[in-house]
Amino acid sequence: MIIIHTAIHPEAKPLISMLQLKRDLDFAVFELYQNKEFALVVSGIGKVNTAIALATAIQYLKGQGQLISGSTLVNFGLAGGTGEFQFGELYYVQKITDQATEANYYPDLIYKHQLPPAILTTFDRPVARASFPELSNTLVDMEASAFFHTANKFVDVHQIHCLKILIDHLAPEDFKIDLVSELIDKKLNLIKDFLDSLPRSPILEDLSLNEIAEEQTIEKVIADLKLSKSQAQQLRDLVMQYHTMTHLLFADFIRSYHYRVSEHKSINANSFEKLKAKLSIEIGKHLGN
Amino acid sequence: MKLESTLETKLSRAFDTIYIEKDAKDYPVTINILNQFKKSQQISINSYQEIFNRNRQDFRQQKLSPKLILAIKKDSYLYPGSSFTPSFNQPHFFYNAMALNCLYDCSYCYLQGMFNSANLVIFVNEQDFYQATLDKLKELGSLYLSISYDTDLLAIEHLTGYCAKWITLCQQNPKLLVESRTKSVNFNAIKELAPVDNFILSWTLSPLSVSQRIEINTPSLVSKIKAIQNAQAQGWKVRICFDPLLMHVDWAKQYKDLIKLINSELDLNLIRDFSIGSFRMNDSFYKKIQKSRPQDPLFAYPYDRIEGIISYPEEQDQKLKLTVCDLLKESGVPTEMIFC
Repeated sequence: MIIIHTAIHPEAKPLISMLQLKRDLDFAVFELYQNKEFALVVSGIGKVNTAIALATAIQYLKGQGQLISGSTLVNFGLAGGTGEFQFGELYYVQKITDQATEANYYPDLIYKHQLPPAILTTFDRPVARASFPELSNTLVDMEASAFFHTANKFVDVHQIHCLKILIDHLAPEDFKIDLVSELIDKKLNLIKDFLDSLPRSPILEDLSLNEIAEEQTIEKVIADLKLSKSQAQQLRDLVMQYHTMTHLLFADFIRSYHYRVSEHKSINANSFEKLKAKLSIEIGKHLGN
Repeated sequence: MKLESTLETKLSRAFDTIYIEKDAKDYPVTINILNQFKKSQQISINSYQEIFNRNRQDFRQQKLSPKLILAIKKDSYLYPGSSFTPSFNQPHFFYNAMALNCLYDCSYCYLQGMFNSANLVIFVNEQDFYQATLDKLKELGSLYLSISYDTDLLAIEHLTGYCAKWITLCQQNPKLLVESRTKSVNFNAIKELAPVDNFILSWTLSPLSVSQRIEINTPSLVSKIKAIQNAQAQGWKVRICFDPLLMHVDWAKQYKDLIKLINSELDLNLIRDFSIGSFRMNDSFYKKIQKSRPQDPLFAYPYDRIEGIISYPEEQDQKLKLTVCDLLKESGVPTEMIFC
């Protein structure tokens, strides 16, 4: 799943429409929109709102059975910026600095995209050029550092991204809410291309058909014998050893091996011990080959 | 599978981003590297550790598109030699780390268990490493130094020029013995330099099946043999390493074929020695790698775990090493040239 975060509703609206997301009214604390592939949470402005909204939305989605560890998290929104950046341009943020804590955050970009890069500084309050004359070559927002910090509690750094559209050159008085949708609409295709470039199921992509069959077989044995987490790990280790030593598939082994399945825990445990012993014998035959 | 090639077309180019410590930007090595990667994004950082040691990095994902980090090493220019590496009977054995990580992606590499990141760090303050080594040499009278321990230094010679500098340093200091171990074919980068007895050019060779399936991104076995031939043609007396020996299908035949190839293609008189070691690893590194490579058969073998070290059970370990030693002896290599 791709989980998108925006600070305000006008930033979210064009994406909700493009991705055809539906409001999830069961999640009442913040606005949350979903379909099968995407979720979008609107936090409100600032670091505290961002951290709370993202963390609670992730926990909520987790409760709904979403595999958060395999998800990608994207912060999207408008930003101010110094003169090097162009009005209305969409940027990919490569470095986020929290102005208050001086902490730096770096997304890992593994996959290609077409967006120009930018550095961003997250402030605790709106920034006017006159108050920070020393600022140069940076976008400015009020959420990204908290977004990254929170997201990184749940996913790896390569699964966290931040996209910003420049709306003003640090002159908050120039900010016009009516402009928001118009600016975003112009960049929707680029946003869509970026979202499309993110891997949906990186784990599955790496698996061969045989590996998928092996995984399905292992899962079936775990379910049949109601194996505990540690027993399941023992089985996985043994299957890998079996595979390594014999170069045969566990799926083929299990087709010609009968294990007794029962409602009684002790019978299943006995079946598991017998299966382990049989696999160990097969592995032992190949040791020192 | 076709999926793999689809994945490759989606990947960012290696080193498309270069992180540079603020204090590292004016060093000659930095300037040289940035000149070679003019299209890469440059990002200024305070310390390499804020990238390299981040929480929740995915080593496997990063290997798909590694980034480069240019940094200054502030201390520890020499480390005492590790018990995992043979000292070749040298009394004062040290190693250094002028770079962390390597261009290749060998399944068995301990670096993926040791580091959180697959990104390549190059320390650009080379003079500090040379000076620390000369100071230690002065103190001890002799020194054996491995310079490709946490990296493959010759593989990045075109970026750093470090091997060439060590060769010059060896020329000037006969009591300094330096080993550069590589899987690269980058001999051309130092071919202009005259051979030096106390700089050991050392190649790790593995049977074809291991080289193709396990030592990902490394040059082919044929190319490596060609590079060694070039080195020998220039008068270099090289070291050949069979390390790690891996137990795999038909391993004995595969090593036999490899030794036959070496015998037929290389000049045995210009081989200094052979270094042999079987697969072993620190237990905590092993567990970390096993998690990140759940489908890799190499990390599913029923190894022994003794005092925090993973290795083949004693019987298999001996069988592996003795078989390869015997194959070498049968091909005419004197026993004293084999370090096992």
